[in-house]
Amino acid sequence: MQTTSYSPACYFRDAAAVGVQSILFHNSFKSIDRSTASLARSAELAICASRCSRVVLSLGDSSPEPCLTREHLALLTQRYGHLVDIRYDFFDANMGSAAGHNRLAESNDCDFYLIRNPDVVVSPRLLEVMTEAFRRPNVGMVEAKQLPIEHPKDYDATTGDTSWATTACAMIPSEVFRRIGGFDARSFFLYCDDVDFSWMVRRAGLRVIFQPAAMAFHDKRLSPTGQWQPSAAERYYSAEAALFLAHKWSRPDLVERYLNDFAKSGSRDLIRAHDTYQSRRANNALPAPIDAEHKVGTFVESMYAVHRYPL
Amino acid sequence: MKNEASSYDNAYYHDNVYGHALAILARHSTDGKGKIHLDIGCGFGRIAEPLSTVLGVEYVGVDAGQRGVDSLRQRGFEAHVLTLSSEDETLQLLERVVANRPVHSISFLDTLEHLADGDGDATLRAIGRLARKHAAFVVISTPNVAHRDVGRKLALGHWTYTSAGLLDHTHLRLFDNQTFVRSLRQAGLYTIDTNNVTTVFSDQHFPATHPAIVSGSLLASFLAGLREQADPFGTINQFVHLVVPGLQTQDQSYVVKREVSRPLLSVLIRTQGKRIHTLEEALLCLAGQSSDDFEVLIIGHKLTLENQLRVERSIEDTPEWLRSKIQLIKVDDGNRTRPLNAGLIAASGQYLSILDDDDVPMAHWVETFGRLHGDSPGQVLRAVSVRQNVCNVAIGDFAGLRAEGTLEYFYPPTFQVLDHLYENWSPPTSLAFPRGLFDELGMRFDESLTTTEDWDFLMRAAGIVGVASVDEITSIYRWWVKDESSRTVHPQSEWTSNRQAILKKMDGNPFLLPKGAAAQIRQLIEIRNGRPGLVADSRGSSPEASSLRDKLLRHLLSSSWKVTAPLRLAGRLLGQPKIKFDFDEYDPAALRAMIDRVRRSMSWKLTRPLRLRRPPWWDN
Repeated sequence: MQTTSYSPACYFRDAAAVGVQSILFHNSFKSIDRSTASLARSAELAICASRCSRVVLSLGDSSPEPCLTREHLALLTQRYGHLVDIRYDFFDANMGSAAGHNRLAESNDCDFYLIRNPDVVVSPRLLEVMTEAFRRPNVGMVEAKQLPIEHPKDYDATTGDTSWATTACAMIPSEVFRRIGGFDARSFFLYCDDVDFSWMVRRAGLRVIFQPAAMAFHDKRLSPTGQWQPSAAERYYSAEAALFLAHKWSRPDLVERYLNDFAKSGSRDLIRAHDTYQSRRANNALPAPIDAEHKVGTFVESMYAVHRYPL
Repeated sequence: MKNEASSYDNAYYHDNVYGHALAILARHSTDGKGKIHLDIGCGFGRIAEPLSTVLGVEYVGVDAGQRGVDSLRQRGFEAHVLTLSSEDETLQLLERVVANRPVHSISFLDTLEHLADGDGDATLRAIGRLARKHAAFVVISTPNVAHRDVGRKLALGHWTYTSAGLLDHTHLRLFDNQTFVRSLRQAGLYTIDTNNVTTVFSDQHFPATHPAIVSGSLLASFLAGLREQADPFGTINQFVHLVVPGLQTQDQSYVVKREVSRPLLSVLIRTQGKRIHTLEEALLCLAGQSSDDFEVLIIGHKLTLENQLRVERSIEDTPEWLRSKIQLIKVDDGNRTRPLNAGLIAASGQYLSILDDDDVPMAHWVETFGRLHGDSPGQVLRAVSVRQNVCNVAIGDFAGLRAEGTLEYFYPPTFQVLDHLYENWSPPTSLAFPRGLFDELGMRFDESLTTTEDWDFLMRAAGIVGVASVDEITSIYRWWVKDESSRTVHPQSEWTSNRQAILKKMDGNPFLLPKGAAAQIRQLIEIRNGRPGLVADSRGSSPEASSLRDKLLRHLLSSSWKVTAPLRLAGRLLGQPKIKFDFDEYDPAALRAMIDRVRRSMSWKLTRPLRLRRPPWWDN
């Protein structure tokens, strides 16, 4: 691997190796195939432009039964194997996103990790545009724009600096990932692991950048009434994550408010999140709070950044 | 020529098929001195005298009927009794008649329709071979069975043979323009000119009060408008074509395949290549479709070389499966409507949808059109677009698009034709037009319009095939708040003038309204008269209740209501009861009370500034 000698905090690499990580959970072969087709095209263009040397796709499967059969894997390899080295790891357990990505990262020897939802379709020049962002100093994480529904969190319209990056599609230098210690899988199972990781990157003095020219199509739909209707699991894990994030980033006031709201909510899922947290607290199993001066962690209402508009 | 049951002795007139045939020959032929003109199926050959005078040729008639041949001989012309059969035999017989004399021209007038299928095509092929040998012009005529009088009566179950004319009882084959041209092609005969006989009121224009044909009837007027748009042959009585011999094709004179395989949707993307990052977004959204039953036609309008290269690169960048569905069509002239017509002509899909290069289709955009097609085939398909403000940004060296506002539920969840008679509430990206409109009815986008051409097309289509709508949100219509868009490029006066032109067109033709529209109109009249709510519609719900339900939905979908959801959640946590809404409620008073609760709420009062730009139908 050739390393250019920019400032110590410049993670740009010529002809970098990119390890793409996705956690599967009941995904259809059709959606995985479509997603891989777009990634393979992006890899082809990035390799042709000498921006990437190789692209590895690591699929970790948290489903109860494997999403991919041997035939599926053979088909994926036949179609895209000349562009992307496809690896598949059936976890045989639901590890959630944070622990799942950490496990995939253990065997990911690439220069950059692209953390990506398994069903996103990436724009053709995504790998080129995202790796390019690391030419700028102190960039420790780059997020692609989601389509069709753009995330409303604010970012600097000139530099791209933002509070946190969603890992629907985000790139991290492996060196930064290792230095941060990966995702905090002890605190976060399914949600807010990316918020926490982003803030850890910023806490390490690095920047989190939003790059709208790199795009990831993520199939999100709106009901005719325009409202999100979360499942019970989504309600539970998002409530649990909100509690742990507020605790870890030194917002005990919010923790108490959430606990209070959840206890009164009458919702089984929210009460369960309340109980989980209290149990961990009683067992001294909560992480030590950080960022006591609130230099990084940003809590605005129930969000983790200033939002440009309500969604 | 085999039908001797009827013998024809039609006089020559300049405005009948004889006159038209001679005129078109005279228009193209050179001196015919020393050559013969062969009139096949000549009957009494009343064209013989003027034809030999005008063209200077020696007239030779052939027919299966002895009486016609005798008549010609008595008048001093050469004529032969001849029965047409197979191609080779017919050619041999004709060659024998010609007897090595040079042939100047051939006519085959109102005879083809009297020959059975195989004999007709065989005779045409024999004529083609003879004409090829002598480099002769051929004039061929046949009645038009698709004359509007015949078509309109047949649509209502009437098919009336007559002793002569368009539906002569001795006709064995019937021709519309397409079948006629196909028959000529299979014989290797190519039309170089036409001089058709036109008759507005044909011999089939009876009975005089038939509602589909009588000129004062609304139905006749509606059908006439459709037919005039569909093709130019509605008033043609007889096709008169001047043809020359060329390569014989393998085509059949009849249609073998009833349907060709087509993708569900042709996606038309207009681009000038000026904002390539938005085109790339649109293509990415297409790459993410849950259904791949579509093709993409990118219409590059007035592309500079630099922009063309950028567009081509964007196409080339897409994954192979998508790239194989895309074609780039360059259009270098016309206004912004011209590219739509260019795309429409090239499109092969069952439906056509216009996706501007800054629109965002959601993953089920194509899939939803497919579902609507399954439920309501042949109508204009409409899903819902939401609107979002956007602007351009540049991060590093890369241009990008930034959403600047929430998703606005600006467009009504269902298609209301009466609202659309006033102005457009359906962005192009929310619509798919059935192919039949432009293939069978000949509809095109109006290139005299420089804006709102989509509204004009929608309303012309809606007034014919209707609109099937679903309240599913399937696309985002981008609204430029700072940068250039059609709103900024065209001055307000131009928008106003185009609107007036569209309204004038709407008012100039009968307009077919869907079921239920009459009740809505009654409701409007009652509102105008200050007595709303008196009329119940056929579904058991009064028009007022329907309108109030729509109004309630608009309130609950509004940004004002959504943005204040946390407030209401907090209120509920403090013990306030949850506001419940019953959309099945048919009582206008109860619906009105629900709307009042929303409007009296703290949420509504706090968000008043957000509603300053609300559209006019909001409070209706």
